Amino acid sequence: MIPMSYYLILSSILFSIALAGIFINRKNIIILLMSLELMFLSINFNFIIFGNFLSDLTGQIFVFFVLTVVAAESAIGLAIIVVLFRNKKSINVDDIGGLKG
Amino acid sequence: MSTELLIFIFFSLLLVFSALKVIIVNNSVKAAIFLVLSFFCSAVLWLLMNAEFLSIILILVYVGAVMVLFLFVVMMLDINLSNIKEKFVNYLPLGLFIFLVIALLLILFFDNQFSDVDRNIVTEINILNDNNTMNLGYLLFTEYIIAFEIAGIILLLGIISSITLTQQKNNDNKYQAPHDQINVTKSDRLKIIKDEEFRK
Amino acid sequence: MFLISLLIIFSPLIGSILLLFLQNKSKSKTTFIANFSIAISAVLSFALLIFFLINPDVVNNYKLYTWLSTEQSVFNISIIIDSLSIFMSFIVSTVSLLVHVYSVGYMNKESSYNRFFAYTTFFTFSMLLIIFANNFLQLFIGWELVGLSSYLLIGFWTNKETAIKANLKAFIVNRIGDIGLILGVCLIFAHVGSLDYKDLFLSLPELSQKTISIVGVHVSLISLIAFLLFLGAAAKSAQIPLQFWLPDSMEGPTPISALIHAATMVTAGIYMIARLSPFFEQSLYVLDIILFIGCLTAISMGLVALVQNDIKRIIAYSTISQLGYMMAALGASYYSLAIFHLMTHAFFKALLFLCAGSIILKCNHEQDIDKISGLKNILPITYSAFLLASLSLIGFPLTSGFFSKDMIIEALKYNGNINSYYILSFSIFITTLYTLKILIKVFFGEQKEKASSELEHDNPIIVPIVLLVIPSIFIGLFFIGPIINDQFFTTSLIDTPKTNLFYETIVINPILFSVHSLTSSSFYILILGVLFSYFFYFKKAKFLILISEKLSFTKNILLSEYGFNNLSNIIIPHYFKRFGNFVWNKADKIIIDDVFVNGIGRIINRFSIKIRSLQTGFLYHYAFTMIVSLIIFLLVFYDY
Repeated sequence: MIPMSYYLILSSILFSIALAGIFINRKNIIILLMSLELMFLSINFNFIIFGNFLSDLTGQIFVFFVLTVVAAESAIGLAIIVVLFRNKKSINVDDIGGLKG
Repeated sequence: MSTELLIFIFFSLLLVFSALKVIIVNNSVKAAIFLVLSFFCSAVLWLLMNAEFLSIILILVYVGAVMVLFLFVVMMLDINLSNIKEKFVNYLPLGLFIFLVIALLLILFFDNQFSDVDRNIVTEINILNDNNTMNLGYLLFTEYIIAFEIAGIILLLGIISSITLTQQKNNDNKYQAPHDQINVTKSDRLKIIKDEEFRK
Repeated sequence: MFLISLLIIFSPLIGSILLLFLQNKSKSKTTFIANFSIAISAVLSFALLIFFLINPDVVNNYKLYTWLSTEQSVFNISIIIDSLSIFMSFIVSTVSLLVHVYSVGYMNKESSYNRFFAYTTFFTFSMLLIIFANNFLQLFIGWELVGLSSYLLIGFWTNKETAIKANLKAFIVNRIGDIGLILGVCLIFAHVGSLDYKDLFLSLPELSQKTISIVGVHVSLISLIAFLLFLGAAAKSAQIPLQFWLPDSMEGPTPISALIHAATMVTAGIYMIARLSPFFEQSLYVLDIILFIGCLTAISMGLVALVQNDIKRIIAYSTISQLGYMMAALGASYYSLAIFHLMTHAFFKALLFLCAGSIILKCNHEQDIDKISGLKNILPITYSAFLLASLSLIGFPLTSGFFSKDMIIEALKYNGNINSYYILSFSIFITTLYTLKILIKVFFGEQKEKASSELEHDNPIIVPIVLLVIPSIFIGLFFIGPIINDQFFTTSLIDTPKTNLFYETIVINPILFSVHSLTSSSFYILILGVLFSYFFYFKKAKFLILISEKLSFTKNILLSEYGFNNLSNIIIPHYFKRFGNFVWNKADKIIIDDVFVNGIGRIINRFSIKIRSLQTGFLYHYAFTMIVSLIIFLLVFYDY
């Protein structure tokens, strides 16, 4: 039996990698989105881990909904990227600073 | 060392490796492929945790649909990669620092807090049998039916919004304009011309 | 009886409302409506008075409707009909009617003729509201309404600056009293739970046990309430130290001075204390305060009247002085005598004012008695009326003023208030002096104008004067028996046994009392006063004038009204202005404007300029912030 903490450490490493990815890739918004996907993946991991170790299916149900929302989110995000590229001819994060106060 | 642990170690290492690759590689297409690999690894790990349905879903929906969408977008956009490669090294220390701090904190946290979790703390909700898919379906259509419906609506919302966002007006296409059709008045269609000479 | 009393109260109100809608269209209509509505009240009051003279013991409380009801208490609009209220309504409506008739002549050339009558009828209504009130709520409403109509009428000539100042003064001084009144009413409501007089009287034994703590000092609740109510009464009835508005209110038209500031409104305070006599009887030392204030007012304001030259102001000070007599009677618990003097005073003082109005009108609005002289032949009717009213005022035997005033003085002596007795007796001397001063200066001496064969004035002016002479002289003789001896007020005032005892011991009957008074000191003081004023004002005896010149310091004190004039016109406004400026500068400008209004805006502005720089618009800055927050969060909530 694999201890629970192994899984948890794995998911936190995954989360940290995704987080670092956001900082490293500030030129490419698509990789940013992929980092987000990784983050969601690590969070889903946590749900499943706890659900499994507490013998509760609710965690898996939650993962199901998270997957749904993430699918919708990435679809909309990609659409936004397409529109952005069409208008700016760039997907560089540095070029998106229109909200600067 | 049991087979289970071997599988876990192998796939978790593969998962970490591919995740690192996702954020390091320059080419977006390669990043997407590595993301697929990391999804695949996690699907295997989820299987280890008795989440059969979700691991299948992850591969079918995520790898089959979402990641393909990513690939489409990446290939559709004509991105100048040389520009993007620039300054990558500048942010590496920061990224590394954040990675270390967060990873350290989270690992310490999880290691400490949940090392001795009793498996059966929470009272179980009604589960039919050992079949994971059946159980999930049962819960989804009874306990979480409203959330399920809302999830459907959210997906619909995603479809509609991505279509409206990316839709381009093309004047060559022939299509109906219902709004203009409804707003049409009598005077737009019919013009009465008095022809005096015709009467004579 | 209910319907009749409703008519008495509301016919002036209806008249007033009608007049408001009439808008100066026709003088004859205005005249008719005003006089007719008051006449209804007067006639019905008179009829009811006769009824009550026969059956004085009837007490009726009629409820009109429930104004407000809560779980704890019910506020009814209801009227009380008993001997006291009918008696008062008789006085008010009769004087009001006569003054209205008089005003028809007096205000004839006025442009806002209609407005005047609308105000006066409204005033009559408000006064009747006070009189018929059987609870403090109605009393307070009426109290404020008479204050309002008094304010409107003093400032009737809106383009006369002094009048505007005077009405403001009257209003503000009355406010001071109203604070006392409303505080008293609130205390009553807090401790009794009802505003009805009846409930107050019923809970008196319980109330007398209670004390209230003010800044650590324990005060008997009844005394405190009584004192606060007396403060209201003092302002309305122009008692020291709140008396200084009344002389200034003479800036209003003369009929108003007669109606409001001599006969009716100023007696509201007297009426209220009399109406609450069971309550005031329990109030320990407040009655002594009332007695003291009454005597002080009577003597000091009489002295001030001596040095005045304006005919109306003299009569006004005389009014305050006479109100002091009434207060003194109230203070000695002779409530019936106070009410009796109130009635006689209402008639003869109204008459004096009407005569003064007639003089003023004849002399083209000249009010300085040094500049008027020898009117005896020009205004024969006014002269004789003024003479008779003066006799009544100074208390010449057998006139109404004599009965009421001398009885108060004798009652004080009988009651053992010797100091008050001496003060009020001496006050008779002063009253005689200033009354005869007017009489001699105005009617005797060198005649400046030729006597014309035509009438003095039109009928509307002469008729009320002549009619008022009758009650001024005879009403005392007529009413002394019923009121004092026959226990007319048994059911409404509580001093009947006491007064009765006094009557049976001292008065016995009116004629005997007159004879008795010939041997009393007050009569000799009166004679002395007459002689003195004869020599002083008529013969202008040298040595007396010399004496008066030596007393210029005293005269100055009197002219400045013991400093009340300066206090009210200069000192208080000055300090209030400074205080107001101070508050405006410090509180309004600095604290409210700078700190609160502008300060908040400034702080937010500065703060937002600072935090605006945080909003870089770059995605990774936001992400970085989030992650730093996450790290901090983990560190803080981390349970190692």
